[in-house]
Amino acid sequence: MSSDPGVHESRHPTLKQYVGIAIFLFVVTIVEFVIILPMEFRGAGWTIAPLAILSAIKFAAVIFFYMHLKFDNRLLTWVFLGGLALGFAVVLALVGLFTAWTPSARSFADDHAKPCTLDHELGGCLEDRVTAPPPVEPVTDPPETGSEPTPAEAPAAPAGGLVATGQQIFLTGQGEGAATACFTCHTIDGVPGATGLLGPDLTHIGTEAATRQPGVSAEDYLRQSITDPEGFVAEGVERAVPGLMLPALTAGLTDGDVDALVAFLLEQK
Amino acid sequence: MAHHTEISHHAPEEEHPTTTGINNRKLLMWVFLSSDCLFFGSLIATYMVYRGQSLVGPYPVDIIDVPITTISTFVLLCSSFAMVRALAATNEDRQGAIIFWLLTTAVLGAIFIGFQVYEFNLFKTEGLRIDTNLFGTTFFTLTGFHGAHVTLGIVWLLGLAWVAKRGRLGPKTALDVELAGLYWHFVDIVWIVIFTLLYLIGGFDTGPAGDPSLVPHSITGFLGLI
Amino acid sequence: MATLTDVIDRPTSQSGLWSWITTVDHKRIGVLYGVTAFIFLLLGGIEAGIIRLQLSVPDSTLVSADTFNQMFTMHGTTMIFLVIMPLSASFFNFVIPLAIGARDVAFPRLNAFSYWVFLFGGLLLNASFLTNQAPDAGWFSYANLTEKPFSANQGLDYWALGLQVLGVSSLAAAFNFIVTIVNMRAPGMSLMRMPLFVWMTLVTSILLVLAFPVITVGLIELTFDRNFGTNFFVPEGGGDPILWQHLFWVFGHPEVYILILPAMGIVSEVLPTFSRKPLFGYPVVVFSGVVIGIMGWAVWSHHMFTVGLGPVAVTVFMITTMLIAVPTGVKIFNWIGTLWGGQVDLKTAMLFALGFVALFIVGGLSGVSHAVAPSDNQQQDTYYIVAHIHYVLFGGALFGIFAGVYYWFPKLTGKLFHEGLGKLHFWLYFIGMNVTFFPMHYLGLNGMPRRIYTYASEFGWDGLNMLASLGYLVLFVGTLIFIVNVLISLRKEPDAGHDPWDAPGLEWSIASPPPSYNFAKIPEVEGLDHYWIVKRRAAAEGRPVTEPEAYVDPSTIHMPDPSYWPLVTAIGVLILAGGMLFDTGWDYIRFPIPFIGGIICFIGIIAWANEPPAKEHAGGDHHAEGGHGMEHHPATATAAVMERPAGAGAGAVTVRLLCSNCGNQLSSSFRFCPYCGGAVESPAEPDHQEG
Repeated sequence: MSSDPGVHESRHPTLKQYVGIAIFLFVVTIVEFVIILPMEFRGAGWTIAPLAILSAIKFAAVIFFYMHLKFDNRLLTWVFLGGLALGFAVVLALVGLFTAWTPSARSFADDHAKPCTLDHELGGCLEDRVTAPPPVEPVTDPPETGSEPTPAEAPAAPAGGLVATGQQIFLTGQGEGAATACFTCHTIDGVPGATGLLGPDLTHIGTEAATRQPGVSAEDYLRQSITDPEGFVAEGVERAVPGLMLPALTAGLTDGDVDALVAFLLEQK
Repeated sequence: MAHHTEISHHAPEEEHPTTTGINNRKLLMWVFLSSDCLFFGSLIATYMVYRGQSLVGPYPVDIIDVPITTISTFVLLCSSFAMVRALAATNEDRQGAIIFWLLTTAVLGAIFIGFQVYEFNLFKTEGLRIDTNLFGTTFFTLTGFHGAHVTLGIVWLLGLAWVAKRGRLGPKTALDVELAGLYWHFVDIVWIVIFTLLYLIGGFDTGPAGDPSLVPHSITGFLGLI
Repeated sequence: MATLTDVIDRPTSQSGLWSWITTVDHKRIGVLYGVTAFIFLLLGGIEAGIIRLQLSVPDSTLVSADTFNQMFTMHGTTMIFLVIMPLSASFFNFVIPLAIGARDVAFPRLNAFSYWVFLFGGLLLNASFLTNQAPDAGWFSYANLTEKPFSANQGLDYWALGLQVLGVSSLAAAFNFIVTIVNMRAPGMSLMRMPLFVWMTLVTSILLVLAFPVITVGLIELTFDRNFGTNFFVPEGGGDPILWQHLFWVFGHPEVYILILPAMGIVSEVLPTFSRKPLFGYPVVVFSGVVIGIMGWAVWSHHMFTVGLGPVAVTVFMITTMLIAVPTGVKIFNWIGTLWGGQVDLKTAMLFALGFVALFIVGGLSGVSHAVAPSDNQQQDTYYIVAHIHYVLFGGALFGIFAGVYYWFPKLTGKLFHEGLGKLHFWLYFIGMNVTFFPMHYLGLNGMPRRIYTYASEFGWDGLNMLASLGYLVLFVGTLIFIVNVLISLRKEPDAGHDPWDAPGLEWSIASPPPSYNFAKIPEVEGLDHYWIVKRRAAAEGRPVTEPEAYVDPSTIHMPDPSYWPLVTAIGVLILAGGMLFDTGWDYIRFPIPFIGGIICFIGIIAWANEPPAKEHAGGDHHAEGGHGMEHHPATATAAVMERPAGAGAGAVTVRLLCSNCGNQLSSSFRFCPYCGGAVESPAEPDHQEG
């Protein structure tokens, strides 16, 4: 307990010491800089130890002299070093827990190196997005008159596109609007990625839908099940956890999105 | 300190006696700094855990500029020196010097912030934003919160300079300067750690296409050191 | 700013609404904390009632699944952050300065600031109900359920920002109490003479100071993920939801001890008083409390056994978790040892303390059962965990707090509680608590998942759920009885006297309710259980102590003046955080409102730092010229009456005693030996002992 009276100033280092420490800090920083100057040293594993030690020396110089812990009540040193040590321990523990035993996304990426452009809106790689299949070349020759499509072809192309759009919404939740992706909870055999286990299996929903609710067409039944999922639940539908499919999950979809989803689901025979 | 309960009879007149002889405000400041160690510790832990985990570029090696930041580190170290001079001037009651050194500290801190703003803007034009990848996320969060600490310190120092201009700082109120100084030096030592980890050690991390031996080794090397 | 504070003098009201709004008196702030937290307790209780009502029968459709999620999230968050922590803070505020012989805390205005920020944080969190966007991701809000795609409304933003604000309050209070306890003790009160409650407050405050920054960082990262498109916890961007779990539980497990240690401290005060016997093995209880505080940092991953940490990590955390049961068990044995051979007086406070010990043992044992990782794999996320947490936090923390309420209420008000109603309250709580939560052990082991919104009858959970819901009714009635008891007791004439329990603490040597200055003369502490030493020596000399310390004219003692600025700064903090909820969507100024809050904070702090003392005693005070510090320290100011006795700190007169049973030398005059409980021989020669 250093309640030594003394003059106030005597508890602080002298100007000479201050200047000395400033020069010392300069020199150490320059040494650090020199260590990583040669290209082949940069990022090399062995530089970590000297760099860490040098920075610890700088750290100590500042806290013990500039912050005059060396000249102050010892309790303050314990107060600060306690927090510092605990902070250090937390960093070490977390780094250890994450590097030693947990497979990381990056090591996965290293193993499966492939091009990836990050999708800023949704996260993930743009390359992974399920996109509509390339438009099928029309069987017939293009009309000579120009860009006008023939009346017969016009409805067909959107219908095929509708199913593809529906599949995309099913797998990503992203159509004109946005919703939670259906595959999170639903399985459709034959659709890659659609392996959710929480909700009913939709592999044959295209045929089953017509029989679920007497007097309601398959299309209307599906539409209702998407927009108001818990409004009517047919007998015998197996669900791992009842009540999970909240209206909020699909509230973001536009009418067009629902049309596409229904078209897609009706194809699952 | 156990069992010692003697009241310090030597405390300067304006300080009230305390059980340990340590001024209440000074103890408060040290407890706060101790607490702040955990704050920066958690941010650094996040950076370390996600180091080398970015799925897309730019990676540190693409954009980190160590020489520039070495200069700004020098500036911050200089400001710490100016800060101890300000405290010495306060203890010696040299009014002109108090204001001069306080303002010098604040200006050097502002230059450091200027470097940081320049760096952030440069990164932005080179395609690294806070939402680009994990490197951007952890880098901007950690250095950003450090920058916020520095900015707060600058405001504090300018406030003190304003008080000093009215002739109210002197040996009796030296604690006011000392506390600001403790905070300022703490921000400085946090930067010493950040500079070493994010620039000198982590500044050359590459993406998945680069030499994969670098990244895991540097993390395990860090652990092996302990 | 000088003009600002020159115009606005410090407030001077001593009564009425303004006196409460501007108060910096630790006793009043304690009351504010207590009343506010009790209102939040009722709110959290109502939320619990909705949960129990929904679950009482299978396939219930009383509330929607959405509402149910909001209820259990807000119930957990409210009970932990708005009830148990502030109720503990209420005791810190009221008791600590009295128990260490100080006139106030080290930073009275910072103390007021803590309260206002707590109040505003609680209001911010509950404001989410008004916009029908209450948080719904559980009290530990696991990523990535909390990310924007899965939680599209602003509920989680309310949660994160509310917790940030509450963190500011807790940190400010913890800083204050660390400094107060380390620096403001009366002469003679060495660390090992501090009452157990003071020790546990110190450990709790240190835990708070070190743990809260970690959750602050976690909440910042969550807020950034939700509002700025970062990928901290988003696997698609390379982030890892497990990091949130780690950050949360690195904070969360010390938090568990932050909740329980104050209650342990209270019980360690109540048990000796009503056993007429010093705490058995005081140094060991202190030491085990400190060890719990340290080891509490090394066990957090036991909340995460099922996430796949790998066998090494799981084994390490399994072992540390089992080890932490040792110091906890030591405390239990010490409490039982305190009772042994004592003259047990079953007042209501004592009943609650005994209830604490009993129920905490049950909670502790179920805790050890899920410290075993293979067994935890079975119990994880079932009602077994719900049973455990409620045995520890309801049967533990809340029973300890109620023991404190019944123990210190006479000191706060000068009035005794109605004992009959108090005992009725205790028994209703004790029975209701067990009826509600004990069946949950069975429900959990039978597979009922926690947080489930409804269940089918075929699972066979109907009966026990109905029983648990009936138990809630008993607890509900018990709470009403308590409220009635408070109202009845407050209307009585003061009947408690200054020392109704013949208690050992310093706080019982002054009048009830304590005068604004607490101690006219700062006491010279002679040993652990100081007031017992004083009373028994006086009794031995034939002049028993019957009167509290005499009143003096309060104007002769310089006490901290009330202040507006803590409230103003706290309003700034509220706007700063709450403003983050309003996203303008503009390019550069997406969040303009927080800047307004920041400016209010800035003005508040400047004015706070430059605030003069009130006019009456401005003369002669160096602060009158404009103190620059964050705080004045009038609590220890040198007023005329504050002369220290000659030889203060140099040595205190102590009567040395020998225990006739074990022969231990005792440094104070006990009727019973603290080591063995044996009777004590006649006093040996008075001895001068270094303080």
